[in-house]
Amino acid sequence: MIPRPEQALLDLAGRLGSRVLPELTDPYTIADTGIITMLLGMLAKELASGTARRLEDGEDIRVLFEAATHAPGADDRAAFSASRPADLTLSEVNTWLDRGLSLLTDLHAWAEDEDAALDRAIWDWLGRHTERHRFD
Amino acid sequence: MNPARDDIARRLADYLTRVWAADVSAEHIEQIPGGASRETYRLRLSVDGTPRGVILRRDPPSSLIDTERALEYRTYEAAWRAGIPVPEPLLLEEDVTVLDRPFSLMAEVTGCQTAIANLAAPPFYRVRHRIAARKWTLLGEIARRDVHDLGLTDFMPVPEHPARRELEYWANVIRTDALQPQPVAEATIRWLTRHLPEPSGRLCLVHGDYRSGNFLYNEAGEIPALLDWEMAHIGDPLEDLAWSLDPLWGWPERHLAGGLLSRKDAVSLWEGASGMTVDREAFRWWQIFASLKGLAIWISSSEDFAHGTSKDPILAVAGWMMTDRQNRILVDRLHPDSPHRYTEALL
Repeated sequence: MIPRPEQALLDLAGRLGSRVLPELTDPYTIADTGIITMLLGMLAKELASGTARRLEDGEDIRVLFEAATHAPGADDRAAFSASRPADLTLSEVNTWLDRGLSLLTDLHAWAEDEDAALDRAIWDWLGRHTERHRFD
Repeated sequence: MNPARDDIARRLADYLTRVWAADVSAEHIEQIPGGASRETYRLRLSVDGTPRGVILRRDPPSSLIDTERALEYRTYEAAWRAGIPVPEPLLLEEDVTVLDRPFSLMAEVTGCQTAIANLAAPPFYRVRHRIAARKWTLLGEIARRDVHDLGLTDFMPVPEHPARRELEYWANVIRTDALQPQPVAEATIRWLTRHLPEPSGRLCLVHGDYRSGNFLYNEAGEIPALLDWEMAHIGDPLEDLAWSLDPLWGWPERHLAGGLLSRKDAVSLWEGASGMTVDREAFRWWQIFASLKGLAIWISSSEDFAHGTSKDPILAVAGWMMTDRQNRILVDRLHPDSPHRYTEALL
């Protein structure tokens, strides 16, 4: 068992970068391997914190929904707020969050015309959301 | 030795022997990295004993950008005839029996680079500003060319409303290909729909992907060829200018257009060469649109990686990292109280 699989991925990426890449001569294979190395690093981050970051997104969306009970679609939003992912696998958490993001998109479209404060609050959250998932 | 590439080289040489009625052999083949929309190979041929460098572009099993290869090839022909710097187009073959997939052949332009990172070090650093000036002057020169004179109207549709057409096309790409909800993209589409500019009445050849990496430069500071015309179309002159200034192309030097010079200077160069004055309000729209179009391409590449036959890692990186960056750029652009962390306020 590897207790910290994200570190294992980073170690593999490091090995590719330090041991395999320098031995390559074909430009296309060098570029391909470099990109795969980068992807391993990104996957390590997802493995380490992808579920936690999505759950934070979901909590933030709940707060936004609580401030929008006056907007159309309140029942659907309340249903999302009361829900949880079927389990904590990344795919199930994604499925759950996707529902929240769809509802938020509809709410945002409404807020642009009807509620400037909510519109700003959603833009604030989109800023936090994109920062939370950033890869530099 | 790479058996797959050697097979391509051998089959291409056999084909050219027939088509060119000459004794053609392939002496060397290498695949060029970064060709996400086409597989790109550099070949050294011998044609009746004379060395000749060519670039082969073959359709991939799946692509970052779904494009029409004949339109791209005819654009190269039109540009070449008009003296716009492009590699000389040699042939287009759509018969899949030759190399399994359609392909085109161009003359190789030698002694050049494409990687923008190389401009930060010798020997190119000293000509960096000359290349930057040439990049936006050339774009302005293309913008002032008449689309009828270039012969483009023979094979490209003439849009009645370029901005609306582009927005509808790329919004549809996002909604068709997105694997997950895209709240930033949807907010952007709504903003663009609300602020759609009226047609400017000016039409030009739009390259469609005029950015770092899609032009060849040399040590003299020249740009001998513009590459990758697969998204070319007739459209508004501001479209290419806005695309060329997107912060993504200068990442991490986002304050510089394409990592080369200030956006203000790039616009001045373009205005001087095109003879046009940028309509600032319309230009703001095109700059937001440019980031949305980028986002559409990255979302589409995610879909290609997930569902297509190609597992080219460039599709995954583009679909993941570039989506992330483009989302941050758009939030930066559109947030009502944006602190502009990623780029200055729109020009």
